[in-house]
Amino acid sequence: MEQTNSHTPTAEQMIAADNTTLIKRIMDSDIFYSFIRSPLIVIAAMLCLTLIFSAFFAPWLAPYDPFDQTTLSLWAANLPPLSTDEDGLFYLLGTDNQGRDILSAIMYGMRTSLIVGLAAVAFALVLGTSLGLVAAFFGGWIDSLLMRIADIQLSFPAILVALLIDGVAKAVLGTSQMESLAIYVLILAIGLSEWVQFARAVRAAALVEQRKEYVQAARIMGVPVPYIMLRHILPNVVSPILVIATISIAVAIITEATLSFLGVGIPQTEPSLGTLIRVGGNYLMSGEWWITLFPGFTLVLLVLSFNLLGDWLRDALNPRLK
Amino acid sequence: MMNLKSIGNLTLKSAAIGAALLLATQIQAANTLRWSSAGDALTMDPHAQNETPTINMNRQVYDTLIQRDQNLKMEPGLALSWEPLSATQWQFNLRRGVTFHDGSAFSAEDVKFSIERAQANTSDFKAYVNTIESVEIIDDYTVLINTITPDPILPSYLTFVFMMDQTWSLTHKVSSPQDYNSSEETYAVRHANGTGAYSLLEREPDLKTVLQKNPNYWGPAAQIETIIHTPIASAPTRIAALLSNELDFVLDPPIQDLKRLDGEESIDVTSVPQIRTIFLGLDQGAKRLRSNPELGKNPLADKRVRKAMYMAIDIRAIKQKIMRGLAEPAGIITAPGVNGYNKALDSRLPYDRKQAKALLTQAGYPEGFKIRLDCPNNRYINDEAICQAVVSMLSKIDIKVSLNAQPKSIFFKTVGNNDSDFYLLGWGVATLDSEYVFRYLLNTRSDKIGTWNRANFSNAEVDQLIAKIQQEVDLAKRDQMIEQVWKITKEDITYLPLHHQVISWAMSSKLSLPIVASNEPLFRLATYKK
Amino acid sequence: MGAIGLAMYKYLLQRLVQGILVMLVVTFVAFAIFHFLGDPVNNMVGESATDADRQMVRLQLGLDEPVIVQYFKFVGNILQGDFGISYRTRTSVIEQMAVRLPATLELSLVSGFFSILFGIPMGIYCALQPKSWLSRNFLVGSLVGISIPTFLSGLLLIYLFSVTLGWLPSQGRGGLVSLGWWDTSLVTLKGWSYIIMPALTLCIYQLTLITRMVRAEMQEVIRTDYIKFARARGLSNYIVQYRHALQNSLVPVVTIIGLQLGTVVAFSIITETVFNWPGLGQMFIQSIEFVDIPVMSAYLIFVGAFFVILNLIVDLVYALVDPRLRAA
Repeated sequence: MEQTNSHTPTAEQMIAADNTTLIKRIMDSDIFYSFIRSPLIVIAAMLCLTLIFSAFFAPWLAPYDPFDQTTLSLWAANLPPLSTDEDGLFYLLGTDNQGRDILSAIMYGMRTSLIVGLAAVAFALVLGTSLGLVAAFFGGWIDSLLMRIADIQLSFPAILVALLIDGVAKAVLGTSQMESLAIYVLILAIGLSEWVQFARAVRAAALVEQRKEYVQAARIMGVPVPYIMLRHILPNVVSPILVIATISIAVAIITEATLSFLGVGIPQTEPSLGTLIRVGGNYLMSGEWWITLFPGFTLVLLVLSFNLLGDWLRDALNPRLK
Repeated sequence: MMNLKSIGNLTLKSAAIGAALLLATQIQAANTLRWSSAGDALTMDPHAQNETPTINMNRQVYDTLIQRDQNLKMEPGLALSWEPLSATQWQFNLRRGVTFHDGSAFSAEDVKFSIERAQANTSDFKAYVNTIESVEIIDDYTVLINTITPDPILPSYLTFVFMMDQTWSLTHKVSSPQDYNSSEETYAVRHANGTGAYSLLEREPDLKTVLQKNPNYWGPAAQIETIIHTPIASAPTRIAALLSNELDFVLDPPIQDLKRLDGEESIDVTSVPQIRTIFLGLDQGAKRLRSNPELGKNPLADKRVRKAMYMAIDIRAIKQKIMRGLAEPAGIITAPGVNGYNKALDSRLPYDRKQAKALLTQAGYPEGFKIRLDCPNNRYINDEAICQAVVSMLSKIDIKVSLNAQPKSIFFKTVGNNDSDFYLLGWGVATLDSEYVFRYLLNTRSDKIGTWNRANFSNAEVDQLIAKIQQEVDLAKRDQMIEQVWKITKEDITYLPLHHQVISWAMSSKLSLPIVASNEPLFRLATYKK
Repeated sequence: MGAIGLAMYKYLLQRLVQGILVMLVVTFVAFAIFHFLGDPVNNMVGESATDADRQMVRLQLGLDEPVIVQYFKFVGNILQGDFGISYRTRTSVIEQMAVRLPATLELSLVSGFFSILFGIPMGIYCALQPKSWLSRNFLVGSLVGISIPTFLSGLLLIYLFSVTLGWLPSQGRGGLVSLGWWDTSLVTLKGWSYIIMPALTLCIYQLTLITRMVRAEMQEVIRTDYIKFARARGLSNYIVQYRHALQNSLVPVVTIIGLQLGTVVAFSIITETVFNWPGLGQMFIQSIEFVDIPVMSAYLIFVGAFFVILNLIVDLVYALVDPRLRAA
């Protein structure tokens, strides 16, 4: 299981090993094999990449710009899928109550959802990882303080934490400023509600790692603490971070959608998937199902692909399950 | 330990009863009306909340001296007749033999008490009775009402002043509506003792209200035995409940669902124009735009800009696409059915984007300007969607509007604090008289009058006319002055009228319930078709 | 049990103080936020009120005072057992919560029960038959479940089972039987017909979590030496798997389920809104819209207290198990 660190390497050996570990480990290990072997995961990965690609290149790929007010025509509102309006414009997935093309709105909306999800997780990852490393390395009161905060926060569901942070931001910024800053506030709120898992995982892994002889040796040799953390401990906690990050993206996207559904998330003028579903939900009973079901379906696919990947990564990276 | 078995038995029995109940409710109780709306009445205290759902519920239980029938015509309620004795004195002859739900008799004492209660500091109806100086009891069935100044629309206002029982109120220590800062619930919040066609049987705020037919009602007896109201906030859920026959009547079905509902054999939909007009407010009084101070001036002060914005709005598209045909495009900010309304006034400027653009250029804004539109998102029918459409339409003459759509609690704070340049508002007319519009929306603003005049419109001539209208008892003369105010403000383009709202009710096709433009169901008129 | 040591009291006291601090912070943050949600006064008086009327109400409520002063008054009142009355319905907040508490607790418990009922067998099966077709479906299926947001799955369930099929009521809570002050919907068939859809919607997330946790724990335990040893000793697979392995993997699972109950209560906000379930979450959402400060604060205090108490119980259990704290 653990073959690398049973002896004390020299500093040169360590650096040389570090440069190759990450990529080599991934290519050499069974992960790649396990990936190819599972068709579901290959599909999930392809789906995930396609969705991300179409979201980030929405301005070039989408048939219309749904946020360009000057081209929006109310007369083209509520058209069912596969229709053509008076001006001869074609709408593959139909239009919403303002005449926006649903397909384009989904692509742009997914972009917003993904930006929020990825940025929130990136924020949580950086914050959680650094705090986890700090807690593990310094121990003592810093460790217990950080872990106490983590405990407390973990006992509140992310959605409530995000609601509270969103509220604080509104309080500080005032509602009119909030409009333009809503997306950053959401990233902050969701990120802050998810850092704990990273911190805990990193701390646990780092604690194991730093007791090992090579780290002890590096310390004795006088290698600076941040250097040890970044070069030696961090690479060893990559796999738990990767797993948590993938699943957290799914959670973050759902959290954003739920907050937007409750009306405290992304404003309607530049809707995310959650906002699209909320607005469209009003038309579900009236038979205009495409306004809510297409965005809903996209959201489920997006979240599901992340969940599948994360789930697979967890098993694939867990040495004990091999 | 020994109780365990009996609990077990109880559970079994209840389960059996439950199964029977399940079957029982599927065969619909013949003489019960189950209905829903988004919100519940806030309180059963009839003077504490001047808000439509609250008035709706209270009107089933309490009566007024004068009431309105299903066509909104005034008719005798607890007063059989009324007449002005002089410009400032009215005589009311009361109905005899009326009893409250607890059996005590209704008399002049109760009228005096109720009007004075409605004048209390904590009453939300004091604006309706603030011209009343005193109520004099002549005998048990005759009262005189003296007003401080002549008040020609007093009868209209009295259709909102519910009559309570003095003895009951004193017994239960509710001789005035609850203080805002008190920390205890008062008796009148969940209990009621009126003279209405229904009495209050059960009240659980926000959950359930049950009314029961009053066998001693003074008017034609109600047909339906029990009325059950359950508020359901989520519109799709509300409609689902109607479709699956858990409800007989929905007061506020979303307009996009009407077509589908009407297509169902078991459901009927009726619509009627409501006494409420939706419009856009433009602050013409401000020095500069709050949402765009860099501009350095206030374009809205220029009538040409207001006119350009007016002409850029394609009201037909809003009516067809957002309101699904259920709206009447408006030329003035008051609806048919209100005294002072006339068809000639209610005409719109044409929709003409080219001319709008030209006007804007003339006014010195060839490249348009930036502005924020404040909009409620849970107050009027499809309010936020209307605002979005307006944003898009104005962008086509290069006015770049950012939309700030918020729940009504925040929205009304923004507008109320005078923090908005540009907003969407709707105005209903409780008294069915234009004066109610002038007093709140057109009079120069002070802390007593012009409360919602956030356009900051100020015109000395209009103010003088309003003051006269409020006291003029010669109705022909008064109507003339009303028309003059409408003409001046229409010419000024003080507000940008959008449309008169149309309300729709959806109900089981077995139920017959006449729709009322005030959006207040009169359950005493409801029947089940045989 | 033996003597419970001083260390343990100290430990518990420490956790209790922490819990109270947490609640103070949460309520303060919440309280501060509410003041920016909007102005309750505009909702409390009708449109016919004048500016002077509004100002009078604001003064009466003490809304002109600094937020911090209002907060301390509020905490002071609560310490005297006075939660005040709702700005909206003018009824006692504590009474309003008492009426709604059974609805939320029953929904959470039933949903927790569903997730255990399905989650544990599914988890065991997945651990024991990792390669089977059914296991894979359970695992992927549960992932699909957590990928559908509650508000969407709720609406779709209503559309299918109430509107299209007409099998289940679409909203509300019915078939109630009163047991003193607790109205339960769990003893009648009709009651169950109301609770089943919201409870299923609410349980999906926990179900996935439990399935996965049971599976992981079982897998760990199966690999441990003493199970291997038991097998070597010739105990039948059945006994090994169900007695030893399950017993050992259930301890952490039960702890997590306990803690998760708090999350379920908080998550019910969305489910209750969709199904018009008359619980605390629905009350909270309504109060946010109206800026009903007393109700919002009371709800947050309730949720805070609920979490703190659950955590305390878990701590207590750990303390009883942990020999270092028990002895001394």
